[in-house]
Amino acid sequence: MTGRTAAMDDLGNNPGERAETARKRRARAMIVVSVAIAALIVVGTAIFKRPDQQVAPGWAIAFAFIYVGAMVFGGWRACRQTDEVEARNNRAALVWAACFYGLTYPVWYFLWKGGLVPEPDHMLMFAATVFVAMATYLARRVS
Amino acid sequence: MKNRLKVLRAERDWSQAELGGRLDVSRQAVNAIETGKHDPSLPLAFRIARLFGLTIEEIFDDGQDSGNG
Repeated sequence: MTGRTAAMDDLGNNPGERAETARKRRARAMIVVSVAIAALIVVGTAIFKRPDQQVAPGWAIAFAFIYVGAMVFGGWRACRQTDEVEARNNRAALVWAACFYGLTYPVWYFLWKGGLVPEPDHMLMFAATVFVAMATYLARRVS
Repeated sequence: MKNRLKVLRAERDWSQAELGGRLDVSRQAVNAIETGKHDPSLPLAFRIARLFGLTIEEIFDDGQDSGNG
């Protein structure tokens, strides 16, 4: 069997399933890389934390660059392999997260200015916004 | 929007993953379209129609009367 014939035979053997398997493999690889980068930043921040709870400026800049690079490159790669249903789910997740942040933060801020509650916790706000985005995405995926 | 995607897929003995791969969308996207949870974009509807050798109207039915008055 020639190479070309073998390739054509290969293509005829469920080419769609092969493409779907490759798509799943790429998605899994992206998740693994994302988790690894997140772990690198979290562990790195903990390791390089000084006694005053701050991180050395050099490391802070390095982590910021890693984060921005991962988000921009990862976002670009994700967009390339995202189909329209996935894009719709992502859009809904972002809209819900933006609405949550847009409503929650100003209310907390006003109440803080009125002396009713402690100052807004930015890390908590970030984490809650990410949680809302993930919860919305998962809810759409399983529904 | 109703569609005949599941029937057309079954006629060819294709799985959702097989159809998704041929359309360059995920298996979940095929499932969402088949169950009516997602109406495909015009480019995807054209790809589906082309793949099955049919027109868009022969696959998708928006429930509207196609008469001109």
